[in-house]
Amino acid sequence: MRNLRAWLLRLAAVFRKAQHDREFVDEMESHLQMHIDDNLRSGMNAQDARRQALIKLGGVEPTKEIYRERRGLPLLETVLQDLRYATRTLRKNPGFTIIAVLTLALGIGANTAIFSMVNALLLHPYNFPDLDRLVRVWQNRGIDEGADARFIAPQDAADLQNGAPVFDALTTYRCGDFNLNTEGNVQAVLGCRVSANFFDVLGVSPALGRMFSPAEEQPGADQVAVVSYGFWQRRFAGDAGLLGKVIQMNGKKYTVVGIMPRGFDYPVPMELWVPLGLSPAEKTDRAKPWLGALGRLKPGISVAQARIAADSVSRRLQQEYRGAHRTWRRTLARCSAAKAGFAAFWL
Amino acid sequence: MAQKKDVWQGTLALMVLKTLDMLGPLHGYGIARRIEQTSGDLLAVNYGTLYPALLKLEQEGYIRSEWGVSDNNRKAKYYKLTRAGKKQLEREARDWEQTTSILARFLAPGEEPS
Repeated sequence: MRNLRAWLLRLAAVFRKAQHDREFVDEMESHLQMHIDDNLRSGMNAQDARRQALIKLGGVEPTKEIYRERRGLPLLETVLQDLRYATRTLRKNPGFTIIAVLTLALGIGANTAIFSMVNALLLHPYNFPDLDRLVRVWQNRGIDEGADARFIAPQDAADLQNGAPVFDALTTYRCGDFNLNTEGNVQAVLGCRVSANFFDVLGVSPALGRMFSPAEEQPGADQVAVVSYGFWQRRFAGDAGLLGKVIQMNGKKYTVVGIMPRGFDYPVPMELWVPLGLSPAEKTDRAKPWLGALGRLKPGISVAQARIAADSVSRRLQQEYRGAHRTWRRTLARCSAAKAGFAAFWL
Repeated sequence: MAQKKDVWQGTLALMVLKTLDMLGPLHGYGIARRIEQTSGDLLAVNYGTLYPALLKLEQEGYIRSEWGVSDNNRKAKYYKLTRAGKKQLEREARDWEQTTSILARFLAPGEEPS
């Protein structure tokens, strides 16, 4: 406590140096005069009185130095002095200063930009709950064309979910353009057809309204839409009446049932989501991989364990449906942190 | 003239506190004088030892200072014991007595402690 008090006072003293210096000179001067007075009283002449007093008291400058060191924080003072010197020097050389400042500014700017990008893409791609349990699943067709071209056939996705008990849930989706018709004005918006459990798997729920019900996955019942926060703000100026409103897309009418929270736009910057609504024929298709798939692993299941499970399912499917799976050269391959930020594996 | 001894920093603080306790508010010169006299002029107190010690005590809140006028009309800074200073004095005096009595027992000639 005492120490803290002393340090604070010393810190304060750094900024009131001149005043303290003056005061201490006064104090020493008064001390010296009193000493001289006493010497005079004891019968010395004026010159001796002064001389003896000075000898007795020691050097004035070294004393000031010792006193200053105790009063303030010498290290801090030195640093401040250096800073002042640096400022003066820089002011004297404007050309150098400008170049130095620009260099630093560019360097810092570039660093910030790169870091923001890496941060957004690699370090914190999404903030879905239990992100490490989310995996992308797709069929290995022997070539990998990147995160946007990893697909699975509908029936394979269903078989994988049923045959490999490693997933809490598996959801599928397909992104594409929708022609949004607002009062005769047609615009293309990026949307996504998703299974009813899409938002559940990601662990997000709409900020307003609701997500899709399983019933709405049936063709015919699927004319409902969930829109992004950005879509709501940009195209409908945040109109609170948008919920329940009917919007026209691709010549069909969709009722807006939900508005997602700000910042949610998975899988790629999306403006809206509608039910996948697969027809019975599409559902049983295993020849054509065209759906994106996203699985939420059961708690405690590692990606490696999931891969083994998926491997056995795909081996079995390969034997059962040789024709459809002719092209599966590898049943299972690498797992890597995909661009999307999810652990991923090939089926 | 016999060689005068410099004062240890730690003991100087105790002497300053005791002096202020005995004599009440006093300027640096008076403190120095008093210490020298009490020591029978065996100790020499100069600027360089006294003022840093006073400053330290003041920063720690054991003494307070303000400008005043001396008996012969000189402006001087007067130091005064605070309540915390008084407590500190008691504590340090006790410690010091203990230390010296222990040392005295060591240095005393004669019988072994039983």
